[in-house]
Amino acid sequence: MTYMATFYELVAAGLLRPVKVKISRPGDFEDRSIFGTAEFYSWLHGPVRSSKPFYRQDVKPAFQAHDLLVRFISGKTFDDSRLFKRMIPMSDDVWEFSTPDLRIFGWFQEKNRFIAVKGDFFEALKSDRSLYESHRMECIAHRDALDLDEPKYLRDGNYRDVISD
Amino acid sequence: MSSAIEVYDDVFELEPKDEAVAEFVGDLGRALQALFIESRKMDKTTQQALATKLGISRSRMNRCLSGYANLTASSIAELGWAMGYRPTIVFHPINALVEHGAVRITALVTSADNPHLEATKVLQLGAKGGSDNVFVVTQLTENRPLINATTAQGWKRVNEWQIA
Repeated sequence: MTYMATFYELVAAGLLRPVKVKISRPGDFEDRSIFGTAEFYSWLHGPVRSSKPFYRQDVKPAFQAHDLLVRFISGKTFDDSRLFKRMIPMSDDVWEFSTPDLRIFGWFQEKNRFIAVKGDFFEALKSDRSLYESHRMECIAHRDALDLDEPKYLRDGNYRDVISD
Repeated sequence: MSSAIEVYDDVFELEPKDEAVAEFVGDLGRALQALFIESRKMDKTTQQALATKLGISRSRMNRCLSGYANLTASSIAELGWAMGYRPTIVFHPINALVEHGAVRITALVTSADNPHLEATKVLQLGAKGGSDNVFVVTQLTENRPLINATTAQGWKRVNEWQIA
């Protein structure tokens, strides 16, 4: 019989790391969670902190990341409209989170629990559109390689299936 | 391997001043986007029409509605005007609970013995109260209290509360 790990065993082993932000607004609590790969974690705490916005008028990418993470983790709506999407489904159950400067690619391990595999800058993706596909493939490869009990991830889900508002 | 969690469990933080900026700009961006969506629904307004009205380019209008644009006060007023609205601004004290000194607790504590235990109490910080259920405000960090309540199954975290 093959032994497969539980989600929390993978976290304890350091294969997935909790992505935390301080939720300081009155009445807000942690209603959703994000876990990231080591690579995502390094990107978030490194390049995102030091980068400048592509359009000078926008606030720093670090500010955008903080606001996005706070909104997600504190359970706020992401599906404001079709015009200004912050969460975009890609094929094979990969999802993209988006701000003007940042793109985060990953998948939902269960409802309200997002696994961030890869982060990149809008500027890089704009100059090389093939990166979207390569990041999507990387998410799938990461998910496939994880030694995790089934059901490993949320399949064929739309917005309402993967997060609750 | 055993120290992995300690190493990885740090928080993605901004300086408190920057955090306030990120929160406000994000809220403003969402408010403008919501206003545009509403205008679009009501009057079939387009970004191009608004841009023309304000004498700016379509791409500049698009940037203003990006959700994270660091707009000037006059730009905010202009965008509101173009969509038929007048903006107002309200400042709330960050440390509201400290100033009030009391918390009205509406507890929603989930436990096996009572999945929807509800009660409302007004307590001073650090005080205990209640007859059937005991609440205690154990900590206050900035404007967020840590509130616990007892049930037959022990202490539980209180998930909802309101400022008294």
